Amino acid sequence: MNREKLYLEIGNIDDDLIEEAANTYGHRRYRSRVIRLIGIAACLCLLCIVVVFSQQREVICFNKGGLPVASKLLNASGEDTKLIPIDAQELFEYYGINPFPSILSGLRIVERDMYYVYEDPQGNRYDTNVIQYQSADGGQALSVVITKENPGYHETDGEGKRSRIDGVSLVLAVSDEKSGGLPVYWAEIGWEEVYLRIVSDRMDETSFVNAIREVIALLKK
Amino acid sequence: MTDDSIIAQFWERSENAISSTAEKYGRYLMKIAVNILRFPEDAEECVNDTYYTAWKQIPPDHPQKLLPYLGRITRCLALNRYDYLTAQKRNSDFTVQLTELEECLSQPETVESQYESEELSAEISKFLRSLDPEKRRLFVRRYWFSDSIEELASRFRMSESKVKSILFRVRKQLKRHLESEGYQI
Repeated sequence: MNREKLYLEIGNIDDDLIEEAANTYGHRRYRSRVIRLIGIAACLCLLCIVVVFSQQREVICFNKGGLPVASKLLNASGEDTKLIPIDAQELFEYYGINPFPSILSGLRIVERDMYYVYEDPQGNRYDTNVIQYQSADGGQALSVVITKENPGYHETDGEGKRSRIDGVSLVLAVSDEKSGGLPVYWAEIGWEEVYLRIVSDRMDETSFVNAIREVIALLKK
Repeated sequence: MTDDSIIAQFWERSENAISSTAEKYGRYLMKIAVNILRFPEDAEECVNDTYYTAWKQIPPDHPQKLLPYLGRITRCLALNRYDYLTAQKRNSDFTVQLTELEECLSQPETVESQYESEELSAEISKFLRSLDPEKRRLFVRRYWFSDSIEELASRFRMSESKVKSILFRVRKQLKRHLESEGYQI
């Protein structure tokens, strides 16, 4: 027998085998299309789960750090800089955020008559203001430094591991230095055009994180 | 149109039988012929000869299924035509297919056949039924429909090397099977 004859012998195989092979394409195509659709659907579900969990999951990670440098935050640019006084209501309007409550995490706000923004001779305004909270006995305190100008915090220069509370990314840190036997905790948050640094004084970690949660809820309201 | 209706037209000697056949199976037959002969003009002549042969053979033939029946005629005609074509025009892919089939042969072609042709085809059918469906379809597409390796890879959603590897193994299996059944081919 030669190869041509074998080829013709194969030609005489049963009809059903030929018909089965003739219809192969459609069947395979259908199967692969169904499998592909299932794969795409599974990927989309996975993506949704990842997005939802990444938004909801709370990540608390305290970086080791020194005490925040307050002097960096309060620097008038020169002798000709004017101080423009504003009241509390104008302050929050200026920053475009909700007014801070009188009590935050059990601490009472320290009332101030005036806050200030700076204005240089060219008419450029810049600002740094501090809202302070204190316990009734003065034992615990929390200060919230707000500024529109990027202060070059860890928040913006990328240093430190980031945490996530209520879907908001922030940097948390704890200082080696202690106040009243407790370390100083601080947080940096960038919110729209405003930068906040929140610093604790004689607060434990849980109370501090709760205060941060309240601030974030206030910003998001 | 069903196969039975087309076959009835052949038996009634209605000229519509040819157009009905061409409409339903023209593409299939053309594909088989092109796979063997490569050139569309040769393939077209071959398909027309298939219709003519079917017209002459039905009646008295009464095929159960037209696709295999007509396909066999096309393969046979295409193979004859292939033999007559000049070496330059030969379809190298089909030559490769025939060379592949040589692997299933164990004797020089001068040895006389010691079996009936129908028996061998039945044995090949039996062997194919023992394979898993994917390998079986792959083999039939390659050696009955004469699909190229590229087409098979695309059709079966697998790499060309995998197609070649499966076909290689099936050919070896076929040879062993035929030898074990006492066929010296």
